[in-house]
Amino acid sequence: MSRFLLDPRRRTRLLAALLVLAVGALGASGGARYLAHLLALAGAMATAALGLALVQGRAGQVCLGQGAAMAAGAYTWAALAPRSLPLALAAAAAAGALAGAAMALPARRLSGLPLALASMACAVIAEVLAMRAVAFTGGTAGRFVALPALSAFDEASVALAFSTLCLGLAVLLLYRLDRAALGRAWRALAQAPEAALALGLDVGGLRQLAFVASGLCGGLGGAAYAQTLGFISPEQFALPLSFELLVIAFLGGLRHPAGIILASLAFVALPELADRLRPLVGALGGWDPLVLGLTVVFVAVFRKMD
Amino acid sequence: MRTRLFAVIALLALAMAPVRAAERVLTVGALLDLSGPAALLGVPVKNGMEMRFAEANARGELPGITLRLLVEDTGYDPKRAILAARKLTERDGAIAFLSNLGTPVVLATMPEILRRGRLHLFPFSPHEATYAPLHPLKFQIYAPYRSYMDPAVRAVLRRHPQVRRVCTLVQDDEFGEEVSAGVRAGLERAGLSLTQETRHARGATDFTGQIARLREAGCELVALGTLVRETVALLRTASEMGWKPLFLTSASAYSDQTHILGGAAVEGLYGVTNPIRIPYREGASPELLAWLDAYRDRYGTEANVWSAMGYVAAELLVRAITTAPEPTPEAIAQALERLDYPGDLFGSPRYRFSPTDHLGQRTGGELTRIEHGRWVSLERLDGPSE
Repeated sequence: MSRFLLDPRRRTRLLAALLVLAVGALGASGGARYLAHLLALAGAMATAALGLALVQGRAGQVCLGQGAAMAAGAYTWAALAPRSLPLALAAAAAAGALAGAAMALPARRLSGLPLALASMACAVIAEVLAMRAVAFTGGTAGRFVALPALSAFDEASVALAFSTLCLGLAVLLLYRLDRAALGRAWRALAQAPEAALALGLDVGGLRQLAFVASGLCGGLGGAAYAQTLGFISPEQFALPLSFELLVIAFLGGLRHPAGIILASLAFVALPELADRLRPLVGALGGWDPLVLGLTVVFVAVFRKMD
Repeated sequence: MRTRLFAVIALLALAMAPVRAAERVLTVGALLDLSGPAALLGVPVKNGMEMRFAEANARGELPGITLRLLVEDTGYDPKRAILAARKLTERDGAIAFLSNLGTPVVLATMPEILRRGRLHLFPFSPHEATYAPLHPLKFQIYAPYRSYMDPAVRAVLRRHPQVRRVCTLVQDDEFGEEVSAGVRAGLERAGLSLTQETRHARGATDFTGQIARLREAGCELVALGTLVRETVALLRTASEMGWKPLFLTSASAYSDQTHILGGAAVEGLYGVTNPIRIPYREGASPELLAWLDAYRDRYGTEANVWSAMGYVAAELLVRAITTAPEPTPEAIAQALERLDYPGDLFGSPRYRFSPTDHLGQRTGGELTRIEHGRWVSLERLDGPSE
């Protein structure tokens, strides 16, 4: 279990680096403010991707619909944040958990590919729901997310602080679950489902719980995402988002929060790198996605699998 | 692990370093589609603006100032647009945004751009929100969809008095809703009501479902709120299905690309100019020919109506900066309010702003139709029903 976080030396270095970047981001310079936005977005994506570390890395189930949990969290946050911040956060997490529960409805009977496809269907449904439930979501016009009334700081700093909070909560959840009996049960489920069943574990129920916990992280991530961008609309939560989260989780190794955090930082930073390289390719459209795709392929081919 | 860590830190450090330049450089940002459904518009608009800025710099029209255009590809995605707008505003110091494109992109980014005190000029997506309610830094030169679709649908009905069943096929977002609202307003004034409304997802490529539904409803005239690519695709679909009602498209598909890509399937399509005509070579004045040649020499492709519109938008900004006492957003805004635009070789209207009105023209454009593979202007549309 000491592999949960990095070894102390590396952990310190990672935290120090992040701290330096965060402090720099709180500075007055415009470039640093933009960096704060990027970090906040990375934090939001990492929070949601941690859910995948739960449902896939620990319980061994493929989830293609984490975007739906993010959508639930994002819209709930947008609706309730003007009233009360703690309430909004709790509600966003709960909404995400509900979305996870919805994805898990077939989990009693299904597993593997059919279950994955069911979760993907949820992602599609989420986008359509967001478009049609106009009273709650604003429909295709989207919703602006109001700044909480207590912001004396810059918008970017608030977003970064909030993303860090959500990320911290998700990491805490992961840590506690791992140490509990539930974590051990999930490991058994992932490694030897038949044996787990033979031992009397409620395999279907465990799968459902994994989706619910993953959805909770997704809900937190959605709230952070909404606060960072300041504007949410249905097409942002369509299937591509779920796949982006999967890519981040895959790049990060599916097990360690540290790996996933780094992967989401890289995911957010890669378009910037692509931008710098743009003079080499001129006005080529679709350059950013190309760079990202090539990176994923490169990492997939050359990394050592955990 | 360590290598990964340092690699990511290096990437982020790269992100921090601004594309900042000397004090004399004025940065103008643009959120355009260089990929995705609206790339057919985004690339020519970019070229047109770039060309005008390059001319201004080369001729020294703005003493002591170099204009720099920074374009970000948003791919019609509001999330990318928000991040791009922040990058241009905070990291690159853009004082103005010119010709932002895509209704969802514009609506998502405009509030923050204005909050940061930057100019939001002449977005290519003429939603009403782009000039109203009045804001010191936001200006628009294109009449909103709603206000020109109203007279356009009435004009088509006057030409085809036997038509009773009118329908819409629009993109499923604010752009589509605005077009639809304009059509409904026009129908109301003509004493008709909308028979059927259908929608399509942004970037859709298959329209068989919608065409089948419209055909079954017996539509005789279909008003479209679609971009070039989608307009061509759905007209092709209708043609293949052997169905030929009247079609009226918004200005979003008024481009030579429509008949170049559409061929025989788009013959007879009605459209609207907003506000200038396509700069065809045939029948062009010598000045226009010279401009077309200069564009082609610079970019290796023929200019089209979007290039001209980008060029004119840049022209207006250059003029305002010339007469502004200092190159700040507020001063440029006030210079725009005083601007008296004499028109140009593209046939642009005489754009006029005032401290109480930031919509440069309200007269709309002309009703046009594709005849023998070319857009032909038929009549001026009466003013919008404001």
